[in-house]
Amino acid sequence: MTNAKKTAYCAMLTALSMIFSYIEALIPLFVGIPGVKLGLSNLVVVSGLYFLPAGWVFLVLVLKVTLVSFLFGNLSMLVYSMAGGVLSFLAMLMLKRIKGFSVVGVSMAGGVSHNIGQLAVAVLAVGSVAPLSYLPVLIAAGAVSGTAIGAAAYRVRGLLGRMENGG
Amino acid sequence: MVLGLGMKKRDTYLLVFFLITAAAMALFMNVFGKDAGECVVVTVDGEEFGVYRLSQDSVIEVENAFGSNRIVIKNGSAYMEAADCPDKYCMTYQPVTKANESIICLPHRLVIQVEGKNYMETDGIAR
Repeated sequence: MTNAKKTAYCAMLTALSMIFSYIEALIPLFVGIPGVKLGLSNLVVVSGLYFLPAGWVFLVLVLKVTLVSFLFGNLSMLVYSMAGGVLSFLAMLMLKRIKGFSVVGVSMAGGVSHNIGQLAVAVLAVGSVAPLSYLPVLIAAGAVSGTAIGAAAYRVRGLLGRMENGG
Repeated sequence: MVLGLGMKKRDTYLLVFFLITAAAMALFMNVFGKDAGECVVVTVDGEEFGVYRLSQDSVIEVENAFGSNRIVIKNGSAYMEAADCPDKYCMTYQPVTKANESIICLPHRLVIQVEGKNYMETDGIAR
């Protein structure tokens, strides 16, 4: 893949993940539990890991988090999203390199670690361990939403493969 | 493959591992440390703001640079009655009554934590 093509993909994925974030902000899926959501834009990051070099996917993530936070949120959203995003990126990259896990397992690890990253920021922000009582809910929710996103990414990969082959 | 979702064996194990871990943690938290609540400790940005008896009905106003919150203690339970934070999640919490239960207002860095008898004794407050 040429650098120009990578740049184009990177820009496209960033745009797509911003749209996903926007759609998700419009339609909150799990109402009632703060911090629990599907993480639709993670579909872009997970999929990206399978056809772009990790560095480029990281760039997509950082751009997405920064742009979305300033467009639809605020500085504190940036801190929470960045902590969750970076931790989830590292976890997914690690699991992807371990044999035996498909994109679903990778996405699952991403979902759980994303929530753990955000919870860590919450603990630091309030200066109390009280938010840790959310840990069980956030682990379960991250695993379930990660599985859903991973299953979608599995389908997307099939389509992308065909696209790459000119189909 | 499981359910045609592209899941491999290890993916399924990972999912089960996460769900069991979450369930075990939830169970642990429910079985241990849910003693009767004696008082509520209000902290803002990690600093103790005040300690209030659950047995005594009161209204606590917290106002600072982060914003304002009104906590109500009534009939042995505490809840957030009003807050000017953007999301107002803190106001949707069920009232807290037992030790280790808490209400968190993230934007205002405010935590209402219920503590049991031990906290009163170690802190030396007796009102």
